[in-house]
Amino acid sequence: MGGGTPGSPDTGDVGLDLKSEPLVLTASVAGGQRVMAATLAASHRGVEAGQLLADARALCPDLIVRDWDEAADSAALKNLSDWLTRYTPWAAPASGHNGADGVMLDITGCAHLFGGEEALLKDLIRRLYRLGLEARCGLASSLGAAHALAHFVAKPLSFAIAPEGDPTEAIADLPVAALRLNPEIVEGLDMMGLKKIRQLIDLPRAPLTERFGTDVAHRLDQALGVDEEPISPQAPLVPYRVKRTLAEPISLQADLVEGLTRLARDLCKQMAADRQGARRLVALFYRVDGEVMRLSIGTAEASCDGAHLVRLLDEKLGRLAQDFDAGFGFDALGLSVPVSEDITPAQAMMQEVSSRAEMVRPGREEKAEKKRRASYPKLPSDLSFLIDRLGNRLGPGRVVQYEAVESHLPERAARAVPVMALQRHQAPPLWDEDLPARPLSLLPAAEPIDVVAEVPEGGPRIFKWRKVTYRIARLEGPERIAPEWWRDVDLTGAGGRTRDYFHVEDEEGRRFWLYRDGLYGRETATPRWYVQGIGG
Amino acid sequence: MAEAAALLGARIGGRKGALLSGLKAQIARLEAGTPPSARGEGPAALTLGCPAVDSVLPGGGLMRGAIHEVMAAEHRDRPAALGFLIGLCARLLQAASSGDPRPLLWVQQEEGLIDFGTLYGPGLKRFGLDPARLIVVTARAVDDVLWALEEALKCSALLGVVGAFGRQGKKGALDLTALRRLQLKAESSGVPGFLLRLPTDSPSVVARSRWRIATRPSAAPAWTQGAPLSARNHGIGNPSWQVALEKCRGGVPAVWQLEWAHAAHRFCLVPPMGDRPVLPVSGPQEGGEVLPLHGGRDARVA
Repeated sequence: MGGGTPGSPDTGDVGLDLKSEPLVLTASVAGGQRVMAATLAASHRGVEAGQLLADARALCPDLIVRDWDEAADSAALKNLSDWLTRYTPWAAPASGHNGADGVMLDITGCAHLFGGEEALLKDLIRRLYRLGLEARCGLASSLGAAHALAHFVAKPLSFAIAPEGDPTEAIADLPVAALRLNPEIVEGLDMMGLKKIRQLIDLPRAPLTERFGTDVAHRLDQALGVDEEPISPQAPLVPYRVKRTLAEPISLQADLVEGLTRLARDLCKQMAADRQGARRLVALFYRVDGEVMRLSIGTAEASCDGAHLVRLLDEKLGRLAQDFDAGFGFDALGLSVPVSEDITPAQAMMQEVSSRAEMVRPGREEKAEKKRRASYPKLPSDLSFLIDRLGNRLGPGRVVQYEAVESHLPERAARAVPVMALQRHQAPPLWDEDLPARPLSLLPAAEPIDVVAEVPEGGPRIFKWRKVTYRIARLEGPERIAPEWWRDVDLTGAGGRTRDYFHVEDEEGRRFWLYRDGLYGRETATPRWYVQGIGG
Repeated sequence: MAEAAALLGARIGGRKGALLSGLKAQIARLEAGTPPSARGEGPAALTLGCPAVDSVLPGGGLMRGAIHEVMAAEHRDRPAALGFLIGLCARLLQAASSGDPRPLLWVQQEEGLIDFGTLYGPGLKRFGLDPARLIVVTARAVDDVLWALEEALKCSALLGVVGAFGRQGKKGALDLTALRRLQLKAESSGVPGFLLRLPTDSPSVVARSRWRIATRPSAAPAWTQGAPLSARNHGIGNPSWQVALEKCRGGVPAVWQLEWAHAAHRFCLVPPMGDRPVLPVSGPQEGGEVLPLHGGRDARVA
């Protein structure tokens, strides 16, 4: 199914009534200012997309002209197609020959939820009209045919439905331009007297392809439904999603949470039946005016505990407060789980598994058990709840665990991994037990210092860091750490030189970890000193 | 006093003795302010591994289910205070039984990180604090740190909770109500909480104990003793601090010179200067003076 809407003009600039004012959006293309999109009022006066602005002005002297903003246009279309996921998850902006000019929806298996195809289209057109959009809809068994119907048969605010089955007859008498071909190809076909799609159908393919490339045959096959043309939805397909359309728009947080709770109950039942839990959860709020608000939360441990998931969403909602613009309310809510994982039987038991889940074959459990043994310890559930709450309030990247990395360079030997992103099925890397002494804390970046050394290659005696002079009383070193030449192509950059590390203690007992960057005389004539670590 | 009471108990003997010790335990509990429900699991107190210090603390160590405060004597002593605190954390992990996989939660204020750096896994590992048992949370605002601490202290699936604060505005005082809430949460969950604070901060009233840590030169390791004069400055000993117990409910303020024994994962007294033994290999070093606190660096043990 294809829905054609006139380019969505930027309504923010003036209080224009798009329904009655003749407004066009123009851009300079193909040798002049041309109309890219026109409102219904303008098209009643004969103005249409592709016309030169001068011609349009001649037809309609009181034309209102605005610049066409392609990026805003496609962003608006993307928004719209998000909003249209209320009808089906398969929704994506459709591209015509001058950029995106519509949205395509695959409503296979969805129409009955809205009372049939016709009812769905009526509902869609009515809702879009309320948003200020005059939609034209085409519905057919192939995307190409639906596109043709939407653009060449349906009038604004109406729809055209091809009879079920073969769409050939429905589009045979339409102009070839309906096939989503380049204007040049359409012009070329026109010159050969090929004006209707019907004429193309019976033509031998070989000469056509020779003259115009494969496009003609390909588009024709797509329109006739011979070639499959799947819609790739904008949102990646998710294993679990639930949605609920509400009788009346709601906007209070308490009401939203109540709605989410019910959805979460359904969602968790689905997940528990498959022994899956959510690692990421996205809540979708469909606003009455066509916006879709998203809230996304993550969990440290796969969870199918509805109450917990909703509590995380609730906290996030509460924190957003003013930033979460409810507008005139939301008339549909959805939950989707982009990332899910196996949950352990213990967790599932706690979370009331439905009877179906108990019938899982034992073989699978044994395998899972084996997998678990050589991996990160599972977090006890109240701890993982705590981590979820911390992570969702402070940001998942701010709740970390340190992981060892196989590297000689001290700043690379440990890295912080968000607890929520830990790969729990992998064994954690081991910390090097035999490592020489290391400081307790590492500065975010090694800081250059001024050093007085006994001899150029010897240990430091006095150093000055952050405007304070430290006299070294005791030291240990050097520990020579060679650059990782297999990692760094640019040996002159950071980590490109040999470092000599020294543990030093000043006269009062403060401890530092210093290094001299570069071998004296070989790698550099004047090695610089840095402080990298403190304490220990 | 304890000996006298024990003597008394022995003399009365039998049933009365049991009754008396029961009553004494009850009084101790009331004084400590911990509801009995929070007790009874694991060792009641966290020992430092140094008898001289542990004997001063009520219950033989730091009470779990309470807030303890660690402060640096001066701004530049903050790394020392951090070292002492990491020692305490390592003790917590050592004290936990092998079947207890509970981690520590470390909440830090982002502001202090540029000055003093971030925790470094290999360094922690050497101190006996397994980085795999540490969850580090970074928050920007003091309020977020306090919130995270409160949430964490509610959670008995943690072994301990640390709050490392940066600068807190002009006053440098934490909200008393927030601290009080931390203490209450710690009491009910039995999870100990440690606050690492800057020297300029005003100390909190709520904390059960307050430790003030100053840097102190380490003792030369034994292997340096025969070294030639030119190499006399080589070799760094165990991390050591001047540790002042400024406040402790049910205990006496005191000052010690302590060092961290890496291999044994425990604190011990720095042996007096002069002929030092290699390291306290055979049992802990008993003795060491306990001086009344006069404050600051002056109260050093000679």
